[in-house]
Amino acid sequence: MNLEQLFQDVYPGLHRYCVRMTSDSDVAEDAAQEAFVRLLDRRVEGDPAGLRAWLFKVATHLIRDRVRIRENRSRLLEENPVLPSSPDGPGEALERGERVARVREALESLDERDRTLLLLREEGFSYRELADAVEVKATSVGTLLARARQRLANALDGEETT
Amino acid sequence: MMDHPGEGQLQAYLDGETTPEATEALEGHLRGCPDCRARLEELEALAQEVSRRLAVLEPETDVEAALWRLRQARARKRVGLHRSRTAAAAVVILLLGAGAAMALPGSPVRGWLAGEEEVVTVEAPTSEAVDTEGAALTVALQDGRAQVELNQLHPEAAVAFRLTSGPAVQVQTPRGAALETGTGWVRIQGGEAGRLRLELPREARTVEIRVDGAPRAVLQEGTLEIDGIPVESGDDPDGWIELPREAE
Repeated sequence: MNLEQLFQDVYPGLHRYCVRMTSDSDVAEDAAQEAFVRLLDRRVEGDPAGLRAWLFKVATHLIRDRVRIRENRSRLLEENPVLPSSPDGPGEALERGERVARVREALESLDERDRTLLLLREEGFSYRELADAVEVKATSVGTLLARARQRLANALDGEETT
Repeated sequence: MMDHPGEGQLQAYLDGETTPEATEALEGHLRGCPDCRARLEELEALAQEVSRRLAVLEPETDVEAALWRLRQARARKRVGLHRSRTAAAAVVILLLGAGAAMALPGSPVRGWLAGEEEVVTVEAPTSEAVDTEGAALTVALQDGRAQVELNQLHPEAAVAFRLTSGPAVQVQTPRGAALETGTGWVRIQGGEAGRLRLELPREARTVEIRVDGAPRAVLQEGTLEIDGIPVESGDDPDGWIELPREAE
């Protein structure tokens, strides 16, 4: 396995997925890195697609565990908000921050299965891989995905109208 | 014509996840069913809208920096494992530094001793120059880089390098050298005759060694160059490579 090549190919998407899964930028970065550490520690082998799926699965579990620990400690979700930097001016930056917060809240309103399905699909995973990740039948993925998207859109529209 | 397909079938068709047979049947139905075509368009628009809205959560990802942090994390683990197997060796190193540490309250060397570890990470720069009696210390890399400055060494002092798998630059100076250190840099001045040893982490992005202001050696991406010439290994059985006194 060529670690550098795998890292170059997988890390950007994995990091983006982690950032979207959690509102804590530190948790997102830690989970993406720790997934690779575990891949190396456990000497996991396989084809690139299999390794990529394994990394996303481990990162999903890591985020779940860390968010649970964080919640147990009653830390505020906004403690380390992920606000991607932008070259915009103050007005645009504020507006962008509001858009980020809106999407973040809408994502958090989904249950974990819907959020995982939707965000993994955004990273290009197949129905078979999605089914494996959330432990459902591959034939159910289309329905679950369509409903998850609709729920997210409803949550976003709800936010906008309130 | 097949019955109206379910939402999941339409979604799977949109995502290119239907079998060739199912695709053919669905397309046959869609040609004759405006309601299903309308629902398909809705699903497509919904997917595009969701992707568009999610795009605001696009982090800036520095892949090189992340890869470096991964290697650092792995190197630290290796040091930790190695440490437990080499406790006796660690004691020898600690004793070597002890005299210096006693005389240097607050210095990085003292931190190295107090920490019960043979590796110390210098977290904050210090501008305080300190005299030592044969100091040994570790200088953490900054973003994978380090700079070593050697000034006014004894004419009989020899500088030797060795590449290691450790996470930081390890320095051992001859007696009487003055040190200034910080994260990513160390400046060594003077000292008696003897060998000044520098252990350089093979996985560092760059470690530059300057002697009296002139760049003499650089370790980059695992390759050590002395005076611009790549060096594989020295004659020393322990892998030490000696720096020529004068530039080639």
